[in-house]
Amino acid sequence: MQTPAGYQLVNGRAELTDFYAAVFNPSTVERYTHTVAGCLATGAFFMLGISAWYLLKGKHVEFAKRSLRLSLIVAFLASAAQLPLGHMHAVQVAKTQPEKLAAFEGIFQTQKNAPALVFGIPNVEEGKIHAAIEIPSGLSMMIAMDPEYEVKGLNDFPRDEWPPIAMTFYSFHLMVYLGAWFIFITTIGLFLLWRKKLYHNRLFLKAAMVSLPLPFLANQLGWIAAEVGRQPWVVYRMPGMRTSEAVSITVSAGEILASIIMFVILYTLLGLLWIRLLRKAVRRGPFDTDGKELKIKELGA
Amino acid sequence: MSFYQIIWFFLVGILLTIFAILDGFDFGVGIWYLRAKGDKERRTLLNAIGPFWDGNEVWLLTGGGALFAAFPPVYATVFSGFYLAMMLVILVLIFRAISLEFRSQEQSKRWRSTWDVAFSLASMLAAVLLGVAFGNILRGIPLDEAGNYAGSFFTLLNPYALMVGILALVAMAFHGANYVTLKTAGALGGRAKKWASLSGPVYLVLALVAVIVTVSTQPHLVENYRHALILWALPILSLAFIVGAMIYVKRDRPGVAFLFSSLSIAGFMATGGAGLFPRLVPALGNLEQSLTAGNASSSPLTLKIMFIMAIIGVPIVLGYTIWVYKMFAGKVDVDHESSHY
Repeated sequence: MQTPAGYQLVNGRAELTDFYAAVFNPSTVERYTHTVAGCLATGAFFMLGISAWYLLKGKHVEFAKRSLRLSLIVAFLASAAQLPLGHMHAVQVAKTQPEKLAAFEGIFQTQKNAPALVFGIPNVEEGKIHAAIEIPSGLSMMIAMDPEYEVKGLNDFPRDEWPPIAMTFYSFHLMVYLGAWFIFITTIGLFLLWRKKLYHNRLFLKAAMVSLPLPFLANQLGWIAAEVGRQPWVVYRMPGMRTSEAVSITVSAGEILASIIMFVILYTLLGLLWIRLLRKAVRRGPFDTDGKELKIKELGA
Repeated sequence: MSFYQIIWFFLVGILLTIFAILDGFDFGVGIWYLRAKGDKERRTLLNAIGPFWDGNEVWLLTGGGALFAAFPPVYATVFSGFYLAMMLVILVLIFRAISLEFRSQEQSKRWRSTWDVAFSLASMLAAVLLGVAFGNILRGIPLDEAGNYAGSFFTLLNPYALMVGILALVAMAFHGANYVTLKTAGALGGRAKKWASLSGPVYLVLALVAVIVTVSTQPHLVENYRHALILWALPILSLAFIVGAMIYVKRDRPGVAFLFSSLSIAGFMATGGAGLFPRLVPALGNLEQSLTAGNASSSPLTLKIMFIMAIIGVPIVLGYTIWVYKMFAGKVDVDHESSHY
C-alpha cells in the first residue's frame, strides 16, 4: 500500500507479475525491522516498568532486580537500534514517498541545505513553520550525507496530493521525541547499573514506571504518521486508488459509523477489563506453575 | 475455467469445511455450556476446548484469507454486502473469546455467571449467523451488473437462510455433545450423552428437511446433480453419517460418534459445494451475473503461487494441529496440570 511493486495494471486491476518484487518491495525491510524493534522496546519497557514498581514497593525484590536488569538491557538495545533503523526507514520514505517526508519534516519549499526541525508549529495556510528550532542542513545531511542534497517541498506537489499536514507532522515528531526519551532513560539506567546504583535510585525507578505506556503511544504515533502520511491514497499513487475512490459502494456511511461506535465501545470495555485483570496479576506477583511465589537466588550485586 | 481456478474453488471449500468441523465442536460445547451443573463442570468444559478453540477459529481466517486472495471480487461483494452481518459475527466471536478467557480470572460469582451467559449466547449466535451466511450464499444474493450486493441487511434474513442457520446450530450442538462425551467422564460425560441422543434425531430430521426444501425450491443448486447422478451420494452419505453417529452414541462409542458427526458436517459442506460449483456467489434471480470461479478469480500467477504456498503450508498446519490434539488427548477435568481455566 505504501510502495507497491511487482504488479502491472490490466484493465484497471493490479495483477501480480513478480512475487518476490511484491514481497520485498522498496519499504519491506525498513518497515519490518523498524516495527519489530518497536515491539521489542514495548515489551521491554513493560517489563521494566513493572519491575521498577516492585522495587519501589519493596516487593519480590530479587525477582524484580533480575527482570529489571534484563529488560533494561533489551530496552536499551531496541531503542538504540531505532537510530539506524528509523533513519533507514526515513531515508526510504524520502526516496519513495517524498511528499510524506516533506509532511513529516514540515518542508514546504524545495530546497538544498534543508534543515532538520527539532521543534516547530506548521501553519499550512501560510506554508510556514512557526517557532522553528532547526539544525541547519540537518535533513539534507541525514538523507544523503550531503548538505547540497535537494529535498522536495510540499509546494512542488499539487495541493490535492498533500497528506493532512498537522497530523502527519505532529505524530512523526512526537514519535521521534519519545524515541529520544527511550534512548536517554535507558542510557541513564545502564550507567546506574554500571555504577551499581540502579536498584536504589528511586528517581530512575519512578521514571521507568511512568515510561511503561510510552512505547505503546510511540507505536501508534508511528503508525498514524505512516498511514495518514500516505493519504490521499489507499494504495500509494495507484490509478483509481485514492481513498475517496476506493470506498465501498455498498456500505453506507451510517453503517460505518455504527461499526466504529461498536468498536469504540467494545475496545474501551476490553481495555478497562484488561487493565483490571493485569493490575491484579501484577499485584499478585510472580508465581511458578505450582502457585508458589518464585524464589530467586540472591544476585551478587 | 483454468486448473487453478477449479483447484481454488475446492481449496476454499476444504478450508471452510475444516473450520466447520473444528470450530463446530467448540461452538457446540458453548451451546450446551449453561446446561453443565456448577462451576467445576463448566470449567471442565472450558478445559476440554481450551487448547484448541483458538486454533480452530483460525481456519475461518484462512478460508476468508484464501477467498480474499484467490477470489477478490467475491470477497469484496460478500464482505461489503454483508457488512452489518459481518460486524455482528465479529462482535459475537470477540465476546465468545473474551468470555472464555476472562471468566475464571475472578472468583466472584456474578463475574463468572455473566461471562458464562455471554459465552453460551455468543456460541449459539455464531453458529446461527455463520449458518445464515452459508444459507444466503447457497440461495444466492441480489447482485447488480458490476457484481455489487444489491440487497439490504434484511434481505439476508430470508426463510431459506434462517433454516440453514438453525441446521448449523443443531449440527454443531450434536457435534459438540459428542465431543463432550468423548472428552469428559462421570456425571458430565453421562449428561453429554443425553445431549447427543437428544440433538441427533433433531439434526437428522432438519437435515432431511433442508435437503428436500433445497431440491424443491433452489433449482440452481440441483443443476450439477442432474448432470452427474453420482453426486446424490453426497447428501445420502451425509444423512447416513448422522444415523451412524446416532448409533454409536447409543453404543457408548463417543469417539466413533464424533468421527461420524464430523463426516456428516463435511458431507453437507460438500453437498452444498457440489450444488454451487462453479458459482461462488449465485446472483439471485439472474444467474448469468453470478460470481464464479471462472469470472471472479485473481490472475493465474497469483493462483499458482498461492497453490504452491498452500501445498507447503497446509500440511504443516495440519501436522501440528494433529500433534496438539494428540498431546491433549484423553479425558479432561479441572485438576489436571494442563487445566488452565
